Amino acid sequence: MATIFIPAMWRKDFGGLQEVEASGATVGEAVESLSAAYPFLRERLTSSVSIAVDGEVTPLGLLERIEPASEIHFIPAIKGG
Amino acid sequence: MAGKVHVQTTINGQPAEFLCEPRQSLLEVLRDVLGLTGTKEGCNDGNCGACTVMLDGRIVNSCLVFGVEVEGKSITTIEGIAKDGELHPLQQSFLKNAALQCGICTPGFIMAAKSLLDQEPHPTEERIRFYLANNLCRCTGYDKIVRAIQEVC
Amino acid sequence: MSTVTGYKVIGTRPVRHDGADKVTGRALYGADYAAAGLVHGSILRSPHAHAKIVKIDTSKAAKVPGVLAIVTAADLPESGDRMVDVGEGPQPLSHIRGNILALDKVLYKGHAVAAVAAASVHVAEEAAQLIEVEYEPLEAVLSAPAAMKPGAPILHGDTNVALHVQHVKGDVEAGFAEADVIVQREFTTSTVHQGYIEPQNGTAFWSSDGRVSVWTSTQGSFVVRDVMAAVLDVPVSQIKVTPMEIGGGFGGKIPVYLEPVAALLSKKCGRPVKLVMSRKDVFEATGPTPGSFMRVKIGAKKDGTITAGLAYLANEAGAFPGGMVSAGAMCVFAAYDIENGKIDGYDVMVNKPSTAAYRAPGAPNAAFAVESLIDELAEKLGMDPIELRLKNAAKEGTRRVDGPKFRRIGLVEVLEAMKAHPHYNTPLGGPNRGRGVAVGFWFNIGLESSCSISVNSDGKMALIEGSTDIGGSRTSIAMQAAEVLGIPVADINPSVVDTDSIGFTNVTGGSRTTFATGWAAYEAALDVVRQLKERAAKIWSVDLAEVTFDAGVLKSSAGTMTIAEIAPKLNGTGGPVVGRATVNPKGAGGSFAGDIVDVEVDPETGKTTILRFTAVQDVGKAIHPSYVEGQLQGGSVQGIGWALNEEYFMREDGTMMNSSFLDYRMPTILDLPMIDTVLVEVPNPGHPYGVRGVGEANIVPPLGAIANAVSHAIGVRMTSLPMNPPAVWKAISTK
Repeated sequence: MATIFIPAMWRKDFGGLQEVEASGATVGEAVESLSAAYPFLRERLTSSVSIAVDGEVTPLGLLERIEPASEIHFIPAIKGG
Repeated sequence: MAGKVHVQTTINGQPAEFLCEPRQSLLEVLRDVLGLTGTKEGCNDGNCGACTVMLDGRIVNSCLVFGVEVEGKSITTIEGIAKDGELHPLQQSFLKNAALQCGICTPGFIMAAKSLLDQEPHPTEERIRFYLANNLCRCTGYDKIVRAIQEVC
Repeated sequence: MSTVTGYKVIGTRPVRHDGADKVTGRALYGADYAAAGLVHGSILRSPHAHAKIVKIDTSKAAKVPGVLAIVTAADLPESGDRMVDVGEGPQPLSHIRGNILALDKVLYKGHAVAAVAAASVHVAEEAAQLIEVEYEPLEAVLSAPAAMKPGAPILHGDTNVALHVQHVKGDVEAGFAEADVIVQREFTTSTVHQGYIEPQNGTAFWSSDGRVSVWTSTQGSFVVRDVMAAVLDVPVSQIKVTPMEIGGGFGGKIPVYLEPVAALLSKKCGRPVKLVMSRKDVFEATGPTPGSFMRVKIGAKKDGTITAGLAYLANEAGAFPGGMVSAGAMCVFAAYDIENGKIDGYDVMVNKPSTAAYRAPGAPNAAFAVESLIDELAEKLGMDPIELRLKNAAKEGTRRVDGPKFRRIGLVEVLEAMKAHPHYNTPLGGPNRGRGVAVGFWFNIGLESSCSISVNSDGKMALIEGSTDIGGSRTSIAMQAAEVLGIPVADINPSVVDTDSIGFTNVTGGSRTTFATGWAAYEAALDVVRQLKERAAKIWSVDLAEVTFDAGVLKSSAGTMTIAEIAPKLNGTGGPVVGRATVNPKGAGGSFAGDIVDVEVDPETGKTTILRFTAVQDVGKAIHPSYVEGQLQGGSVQGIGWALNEEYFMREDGTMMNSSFLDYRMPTILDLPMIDTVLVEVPNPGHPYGVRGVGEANIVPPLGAIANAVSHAIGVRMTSLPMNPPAVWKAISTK
């Protein structure tokens, strides 16, 4: 099962959990698999949130493929200057 | 408001004439009236040196000189530094030593550096830095600019 | 990825392709643009830091002979509640429009209110001053702490806090309980400006067929196009942006200010309209970087192991949301492997110009605080400051406080290089002298780039790409293609082209250009090779599988052909060969930087002289070492100015008192010694040539390094920037 790390500001909405396990072939499927328990998650993933799989920000967002042991992080999208 | 003044001068060794309003700076005349856009505007108040040209052999901030003031005088701009298609050794050294990044300050620096080397062919590092203190660069940290000038000394 | 060594082109120092134009004044920057019928605009700006706009009367201005058009926000289409995403995440369209021309309120002194176009810039300026604006002044708020207090004047909605980010790892309370030594301080930094020498500019022409053409100096032509499409409510494809050469940006030329106004003026008068900012307007009405208030606490055991880190960061976002605290919060403890961390970051709106990115935005502020405290910790623990950092250094696999684990990074290598450097091993003698070290981190981003390479009949190539070239990047990009093709880089002619001529390309910024656009050039070159092999197979009548390509030479059982030999045959054997690629790559590496600086302080004046400066950075693989060194030197000197002299000196009413290069005191050539650089190469496994973006990380450590040096020199811990002579003198005299 892949691990979705919950950003600190969202943990209260996840009953205080810091991590949640989820399964799927892609990040999107993993998020979808949590939609019953946490229906609000998907809509929080706007373009101001970057999706990082195993420490690497993915340009594919929810379409990025994941492995069983993958770590998924939602971090603020930054561009730089 | 006064009408335009007719000015006759010499630019880069060639006779030149133009019409300008009394309130227009030499910088504005060079760029907007004569199309010599190699001289740049960075601040328009004499504090960055991007507009450096030579006026009767002395470097000046062209934003602090009026167009009407150059009647009968001789001006050299960056466009006049390379001769017959050959880059001046300073220009070549700036390229070889990567002494420019965005390049906007480069014309001003080359004018000022040439003025220094015309008067003092072998300045110390301290003297180079002192002479060029009116030319601001924000990209390079000046290191490679100093080295490029030193290589031509 | 590639582990090729023994490069032929990469790592060399060719003269840049645009060099001759730039040293002779032939290169055309945005303000140099000329066209038939060009007229000039001037913008009227708010004298108040915070006020309601009651009425705008343009009638007197309209009567001035020579005035061709006048616009205000009333000429913009309605925003309503629409949200748009122009690459920064969703934001209210009213915010983007509102910064370009004030809607119902002015939010900073200098905020654009109206604009005039006339045949002469002087007539436009005089007419603009005749526009009568009735304001109802409101109380202004100028610092983050003040703006967060209950009862503070509010800029938008019902709070000035635009964003609160938080990261939590482990248990900070437990971590501090374990610590033998704890250091904690408050730090402040002032608003500073990127200081690019070329002011913002833009020319726009709105033709009668509805197409809008733009010529501008920008870090992102496609961003300009997207923003204009949103602001003007025009389809993206009707706008063509031609990037002119750009005179510096550092992040400050990513936002869009002038082009939409020029377009509105052009729409009204039917002429191309050019707008160029004065230096005063650049200071007062573009995007400086946030001033900040920070409170940081770090705990460590006797042996130097850091057990906990707590950070509170409040950045001034200026008049609209976006104070870069997100990035600051991710970088603040990034250099250290910390079990327990808690970070709270706030972007706070204040009545100052809306902030923009400045090279690693948010990170220098945060690193100033942390690196100062690490220095104090080292003193208290009796440890060498580099050893303390090595003991806790983040490595591949270290989990950051904000969550993800680092992949391959080079902090340890940077610290080892600092430790071994002759600078660090030369004792610094003498009174009033001090040495400081610091490290810092910045991300690299990937994002979209496109590239196309055409083979000419003489075997040389034209390469087109869309990354505006601020520092020699077109050459570094061409070098990556030349390496693939086995030809000299002088045989590739790179051009930066407009938004109709190349595929979408994201900003020149975020330390992405050599990484991502270089990758696009690499892929486009591979595409050229693929096509040449197919053509050779056809010409030789052999199987494609037996054709090889190496170092610019095609080979099969039928013989060999160099690129120069096959090139003239291409048209007649099937047509031209054009390679193309678009990328949005993963694998951006992240870069660590470190500085060693020696200073001497004059106790009578408080003036700090930089005696010696060494900048170290993990650059992955330096494609063109001279331009990589230049990035380290430039960012370091910006950091020197930020640490020692630069600030927006604000009057209580929100007026910037020093909006000129005379009094906004950036380092001159006379203020500095040579800046020595060390390029540490820990190749980025995610890039074909190991490239890490280098442009930004070098501005992260100087603030802390210089603060540490000055603090050692005078025996007083400095916690506020800039450490200008009055501030240092005061610290000495109240010691």
